Amino acid sequence: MNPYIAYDALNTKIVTQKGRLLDENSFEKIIGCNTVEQVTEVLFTRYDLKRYIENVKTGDLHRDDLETLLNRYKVSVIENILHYCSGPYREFILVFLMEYEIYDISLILRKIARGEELDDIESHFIHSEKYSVLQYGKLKASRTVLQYVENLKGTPYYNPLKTVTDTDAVKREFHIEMKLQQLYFKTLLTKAEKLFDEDKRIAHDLIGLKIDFLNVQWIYRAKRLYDISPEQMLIYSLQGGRRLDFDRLRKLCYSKSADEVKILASQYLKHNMLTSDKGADIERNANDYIFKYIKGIKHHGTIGSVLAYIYILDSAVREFVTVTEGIRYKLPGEQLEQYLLNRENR
Amino acid sequence: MAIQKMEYLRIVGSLEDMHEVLEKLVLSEKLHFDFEGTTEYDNSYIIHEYESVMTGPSSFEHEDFEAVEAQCDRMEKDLEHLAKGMDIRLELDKSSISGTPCSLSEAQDDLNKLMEQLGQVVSEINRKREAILKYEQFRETLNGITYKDIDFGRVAALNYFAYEIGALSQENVIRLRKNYENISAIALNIGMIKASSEYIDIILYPRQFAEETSKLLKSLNWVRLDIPENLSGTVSEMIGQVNDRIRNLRNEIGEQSKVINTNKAGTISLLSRIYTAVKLERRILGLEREITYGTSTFVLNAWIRKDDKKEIMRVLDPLIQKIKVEEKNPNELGRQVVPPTQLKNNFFFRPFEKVIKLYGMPSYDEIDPTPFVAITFCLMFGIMFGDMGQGFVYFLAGLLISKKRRAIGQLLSRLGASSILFGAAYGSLFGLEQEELPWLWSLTGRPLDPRNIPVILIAGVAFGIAALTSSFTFSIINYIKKSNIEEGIFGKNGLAGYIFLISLVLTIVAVVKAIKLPVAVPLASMVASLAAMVAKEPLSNLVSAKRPLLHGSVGAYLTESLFEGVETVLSTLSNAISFIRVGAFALNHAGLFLAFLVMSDVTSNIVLKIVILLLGNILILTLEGLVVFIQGLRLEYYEMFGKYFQGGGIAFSPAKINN
Repeated sequence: MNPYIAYDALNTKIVTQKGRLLDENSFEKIIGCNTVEQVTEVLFTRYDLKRYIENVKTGDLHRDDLETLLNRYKVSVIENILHYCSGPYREFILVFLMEYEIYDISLILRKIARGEELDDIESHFIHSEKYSVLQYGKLKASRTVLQYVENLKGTPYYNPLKTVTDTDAVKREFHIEMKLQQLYFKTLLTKAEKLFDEDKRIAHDLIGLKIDFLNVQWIYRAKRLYDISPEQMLIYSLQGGRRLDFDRLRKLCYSKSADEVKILASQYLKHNMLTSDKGADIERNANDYIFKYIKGIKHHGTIGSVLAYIYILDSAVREFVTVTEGIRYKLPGEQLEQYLLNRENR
Repeated sequence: MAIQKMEYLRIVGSLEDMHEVLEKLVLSEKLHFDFEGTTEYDNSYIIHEYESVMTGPSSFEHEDFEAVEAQCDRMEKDLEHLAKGMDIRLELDKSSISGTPCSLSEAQDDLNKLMEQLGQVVSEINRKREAILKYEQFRETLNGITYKDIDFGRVAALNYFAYEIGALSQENVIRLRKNYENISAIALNIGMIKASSEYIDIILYPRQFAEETSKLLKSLNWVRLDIPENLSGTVSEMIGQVNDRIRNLRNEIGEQSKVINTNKAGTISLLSRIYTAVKLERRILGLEREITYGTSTFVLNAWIRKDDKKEIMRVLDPLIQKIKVEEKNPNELGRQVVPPTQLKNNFFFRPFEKVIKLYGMPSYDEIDPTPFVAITFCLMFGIMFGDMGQGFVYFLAGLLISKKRRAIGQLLSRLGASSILFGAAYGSLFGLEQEELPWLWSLTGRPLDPRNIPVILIAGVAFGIAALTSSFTFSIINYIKKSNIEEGIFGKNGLAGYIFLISLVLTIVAVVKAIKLPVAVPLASMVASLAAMVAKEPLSNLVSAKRPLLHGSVGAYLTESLFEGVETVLSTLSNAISFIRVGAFALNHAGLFLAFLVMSDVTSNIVLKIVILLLGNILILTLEGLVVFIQGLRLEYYEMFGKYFQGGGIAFSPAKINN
């Protein structure tokens, strides 16, 4: 019996919530829509998601709005999970909310660096109002990137960002992204250390798997698209992967071409993730693999069920967004299907 | 020992006089402005009414709020600049502007003169202080370098190599080391910055790899350390040079401060006056933004303490010909207007207001529960933690704490005093009783005396019933004041609830045959009062001749009220039993110390005995004292407040200037 988390209550909750948004019919219904207006109508009426977004009419739901809406929904799901946790488990689940804080602080930083207006920025915020302790008012009031970073003092985000300059924030945005991503996964793994043994193993494995896929994605794209040195690639690769230890990462970073990365990655991961150059395909391949893995882990009475739910929800939200964009640009149904996960993995 | 009586003021005047009126009112610190109590519609109506009769400009040029705000910002910045240079903290001095008012423009003139006189010197001093700070930080880094004989000048003179010194986190040092063979730079660890636990590294790289190295370092969150100009030589030599510079700068500041220190007291008092004037202006500006205007008239609404009325009229006297002041009693305003609450208690009870406010603020028309809380809390604490010695420690601690945290200290000293009194009754001094100290006098004898145990437990319940009786009385009065017959007479916290409680107690007493009373009598009374609670809505409608007797469906009402009835039975039972803890903790207090006494008896070493007893006292004073305090608080909040406290009051908060 784990005193820090009520697995039975959580599982019941997860089953009900999965039924709401993640069932097979949801996707069928969305794919069956012909216009964005219909998609919005389904999301608002059938899934009662309207409360997560203000002042949006069904007709003008843009991609940003849809992402905000669904991200806020994800935050509310994590907040609900937190009701059933305490001690180290609560600390661990809280880290998942960091992802949304990171989204918001990056958004403010970008606007400040570009000298854009911040008046309406709150309508794009997705962080948990209940659990986030950042002083957004103070952050918003910063006039320069330097001042902004100073205002982050005392938060976990200060150290990774303390050397960021105005030019970095505009021209070298990926530095910021990667530094914050490293912080997120490092915190996640550190907090997972305090879980009970079985949960710790499951958490490390699942997060490690995610880290492996992110690393491969990062290195492949860096090789193919950007002028980034192997040293930098290695520095920004995430530690704590399941199959990609430091030596393998180094081999990937110092490989001669993107094609060599493809070969090495499929050899290391035992899965052909880089079947095409399209981001959406790579992501779908990675998620397919992760879901296959998730199906194999022990769910009952372990953190596996919670993590699986968070991951599946995350990918479902991406699919919703992709499919809605497809509908917006009038792609035929069969083409839309391509963007979705293999059904048997769900 | 009640809730302070309030009066409502409505002040109408010409916009020309608004600033002056607000200035006087803010300085009086006696008005709680109310921008929500009266509707916009009411105020607009009054404005229309007065604009036709009041003399004044047909259209008044409003102050540019943004411009005034910006002026205040600028002035505050200058004031802070001067204060920093003079090494003082800006303080408010309300007396400096209450006698002879100081307008913002006057304050600006004074500030300009001060800036002219001292601005330059202060700027130089501030600049030098900042330089000292930077030097000190650099010296800290230099001190962190292990190899004090490194000469960075010689490294800089290399033809084909460039270098950087800087700080790296441990994590990034590991990242760098792991891939060292692929990196076209040499990274040498030369020390550590203790404050941030970062490593100090020197990076040497061929000049043609400058860009590549710079990118690499960027990814590693490299914090470059720049050597201040004109410093040279080895690390030790540089530390010496930095020390010299800091000393020189300090001497220069000392010299320049002489200019500031001539008539420093006068300057400080002028600064305080200007600062207070700026803060006053800001406060007025805040109020001006909320007030309702017409084209030439303003109207403002505020609450005042009834006792302050004369004083406020005296303050407004010079303007009385130009403004209209209308006073109203809260009763005239209807129930929807809620006056703010200020508790008014004497010296003894006042600290217990903290306990009330921790739970919530009573509403204006409630009974102030402070005296009741003070008496019951002191009694409960005393009964549960009766000891002359330990009580005296709390009393002294309370006196000491009250110098810094007034209310908390005073609360503790009162609880300590109660503990002393009950300690005297039990005959307990630092846990020792008559058995150990035969000369100790006691009224009741030790709590753990077998004859006393049942008496103490029963006394706890009896105390509880008395406390609950008072709670029910307050609750009934509060409901009746609000004309709520349904809850006041038939509710579970009203008369019916009380009769149910007393009947329950009498039933138990009759069953154990403590009094000669047929069980059927209190049982019948219990059933009758329970029935009254279940049927409270129709009964109250019947009594107050309202129809229909029941709103909504009978089924739904019955289901709800029957469940409420069951809940009432359970909660009344637990309420009455809950107070046993008062007696139980009195026994526990004595029992806990007894354990230490037994331990001390095991040894014959007198020093060890004293140490054990001392430890026992410390444990009781810290842990048990806290537990008893929380139990007392729990009984107050859960068993008593739950009955009568309605809350929802707004604290009376007069507008004043603050930092």
